[in-house]
Amino acid sequence: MINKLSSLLAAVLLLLVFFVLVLLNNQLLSGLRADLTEDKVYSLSAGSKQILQELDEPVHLYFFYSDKASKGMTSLRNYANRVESLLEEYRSLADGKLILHKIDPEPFSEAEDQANQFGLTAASVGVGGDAVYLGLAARNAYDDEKIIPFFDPQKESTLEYELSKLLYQLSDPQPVKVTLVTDLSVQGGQNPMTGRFDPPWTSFTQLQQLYEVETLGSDAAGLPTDTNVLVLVHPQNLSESMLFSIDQYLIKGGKALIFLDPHHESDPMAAMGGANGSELTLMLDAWGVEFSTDQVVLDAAAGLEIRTQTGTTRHLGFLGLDKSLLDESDVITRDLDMINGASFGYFSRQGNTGPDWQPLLHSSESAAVTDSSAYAMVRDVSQLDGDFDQAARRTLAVRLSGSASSAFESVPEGVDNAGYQQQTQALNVILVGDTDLLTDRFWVSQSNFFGQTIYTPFANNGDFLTNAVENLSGSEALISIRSRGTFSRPFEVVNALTVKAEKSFREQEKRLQQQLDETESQLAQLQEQGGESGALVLSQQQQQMLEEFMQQKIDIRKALRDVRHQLDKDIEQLGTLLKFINIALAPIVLVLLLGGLFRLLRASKGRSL
Amino acid sequence: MANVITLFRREFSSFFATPVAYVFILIFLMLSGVFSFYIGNLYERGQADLLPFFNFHPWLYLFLVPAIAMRSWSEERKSGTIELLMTLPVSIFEIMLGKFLAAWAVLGLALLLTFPLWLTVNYLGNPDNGIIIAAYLGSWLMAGAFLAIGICMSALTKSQVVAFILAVVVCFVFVLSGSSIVLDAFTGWLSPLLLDTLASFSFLTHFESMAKGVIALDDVGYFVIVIGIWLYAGLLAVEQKKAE
Repeated sequence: MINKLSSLLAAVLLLLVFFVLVLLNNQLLSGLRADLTEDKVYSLSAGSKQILQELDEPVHLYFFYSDKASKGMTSLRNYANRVESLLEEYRSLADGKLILHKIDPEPFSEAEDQANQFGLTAASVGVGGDAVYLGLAARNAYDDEKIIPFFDPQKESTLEYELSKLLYQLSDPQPVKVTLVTDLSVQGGQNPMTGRFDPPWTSFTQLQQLYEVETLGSDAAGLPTDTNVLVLVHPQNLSESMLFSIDQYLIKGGKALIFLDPHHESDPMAAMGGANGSELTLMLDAWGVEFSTDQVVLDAAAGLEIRTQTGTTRHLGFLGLDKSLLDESDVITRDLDMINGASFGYFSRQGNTGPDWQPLLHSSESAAVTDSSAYAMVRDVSQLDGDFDQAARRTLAVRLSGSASSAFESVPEGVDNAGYQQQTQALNVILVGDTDLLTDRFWVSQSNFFGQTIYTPFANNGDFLTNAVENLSGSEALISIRSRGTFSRPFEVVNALTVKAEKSFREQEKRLQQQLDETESQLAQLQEQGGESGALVLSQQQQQMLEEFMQQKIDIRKALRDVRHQLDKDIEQLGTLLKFINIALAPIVLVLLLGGLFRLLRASKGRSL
Repeated sequence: MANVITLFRREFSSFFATPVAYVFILIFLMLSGVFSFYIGNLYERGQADLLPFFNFHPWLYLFLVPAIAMRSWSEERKSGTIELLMTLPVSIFEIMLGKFLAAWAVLGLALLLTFPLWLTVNYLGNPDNGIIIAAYLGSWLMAGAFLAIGICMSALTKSQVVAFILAVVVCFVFVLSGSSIVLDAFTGWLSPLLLDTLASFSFLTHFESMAKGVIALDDVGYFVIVIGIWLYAGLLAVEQKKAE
């Protein structure tokens, strides 16, 4: 009796110990983990961790996910789990600064109203059209709100970037100050050729709508100290103090988007005076970058069709860079479809030292170069010609990051030398080889609608500018977050078989369809003949032929159906073979081998005894 | 330690002296193939990973592991060899550990022999092998947890059948504790912390997170705790029976 009682007591104690141990295990060991996935999918990048560390005030995250309404939608649920686990990861690393609320906005509930108030988008699914929410709203201590209306599974690779950007925007609500340094007429003004007033460039207007923009000419003495992002467009004759100011701004961690051009042909006066290239050699040399101010890229594959007085022709100097010519891995360019520009210059590296080099835009393989002065003087664009024997892919825009030296070995005379710095480990510059792409004619069309001018973009030039500024205005950490790997891993062998099968199916189908058409026309002919001869009844021979054709038609139709049926035969066969190997053959063979091995081991043991 | 190694060898070879291990491995390999291909649609879904294979492991182990564990102590007790064991200069703890490690090694061997499936997905596409390694490790740890429960149940009774049934029932409770069937029943009245703790008792929760490719220390820790606690409970049961 006592024995039984003590056993019972031991069992209860053991159960208690188990509870306590599991609780301690959950609390103490939950942070330590090794992510074995290829792309480190479940680990936050260093950039995101830095953003989390820099959070000063708590941020509330409201994760809306229609758990019940999405039952059965496996892929969406998987993606929702992925988003949720990433959010959990953020929360666990935020040291209590992130408060995650998980909400299932069931139809007609208060939670659904809340989701709508935040402005989240619901996907309508099923016959009843149930609303499925999968979005995020975030609110900081100042009641600023940011949302991700719907987590699109197609954008899984930029998920971490989107989340970190959202947190960054909430943690740093200071407006971004953009300093634009240029002598071009970005703000519009009187056109010296026509005498009319031109409106400001749409790209510039767009920038003003999003950020606080201060515009300076090249004669300004230096950059304002509160500059967050420098946009330098077509630098020419910059004063030495301005150059020094830009150099030191960048060496001390400033970020810049620099548009250079061997020839800015959108200048109304450009047609008169030949090429008017940008000048920034001093700095480019310091960064180990070479830019072709005397050469313009001509691209036989990316050249745009333009309308001339005699019709349309391909302009080899006007380039339309489609998706294949934009870097897919960079957040600036990955979602863009087309960038148009004219008389691009190209960048190349001087040696292998200097900052890290990541091309963002490039030409096709069929790009040649031509002299920029000659290009500027060409009137008939069909005459444009370059050395296409040397055709190669050229880098048209590049992101430089990492270590770099100052372009100035010492402080120039007459310039304030406060805090002169010689080296940086965090250069952050985007160089673009064209300025014309910022002008309206390459990306936006104007139309008049009830007295209002409507701008309709036909290329992503404006998005490129705002993406770049947005990306640069983000913290160092945000810029470092690159898109993560892809998550679909298709059966390549099966895909190859599908392609092969479809090809052979189409060939057979075409052949059989031809036969069928022939048979049908012969049949029609025969029936017509019967009608023409006036005889109501077909002769026996005709009747026989008719029957033969009918039979042939049925056979061909059947063959067509068979071909369609056979389409996946190879794939099915491979599947059957793999199933047989894995379910029957391999287990039996392996167990027999195992048995043999143990017998052998025993026998050798027996012998040795 | 030397004793444990000797006992481990004895137990491990005893599995292969009879058809037990062979039959177990054959059934495990065949069933995992059938489940992966016919229920999990490994081939038809066209994704180069082993998720459909690992998804069924908790359910395979639920019946197969108690089957391999049921004889561990019941057999010794029934045939009387336990008396002999007790006279040997080894502790019950060492015997328990030797038995557990030997059976766990058989389970590990069975898992290793599923490599044709791994070869298959590598032939068909480019799977994330890091995830697969993590999932194998998680599966083996989970098998250890099932095994420890099975061995404890076997220590409780002379009858192998009773040991099997008891083990299946207890394991089933552990598998289900994280599922919506159980959690839904508590959702209304348990606080989220208690609910989370309850969910964390589930083998599924810990295994699934490992099968995604992340080896978290708390997941490994959980399985180690389950193994330790149940082996210790088994030890107490043997001691208790010995006293009787």
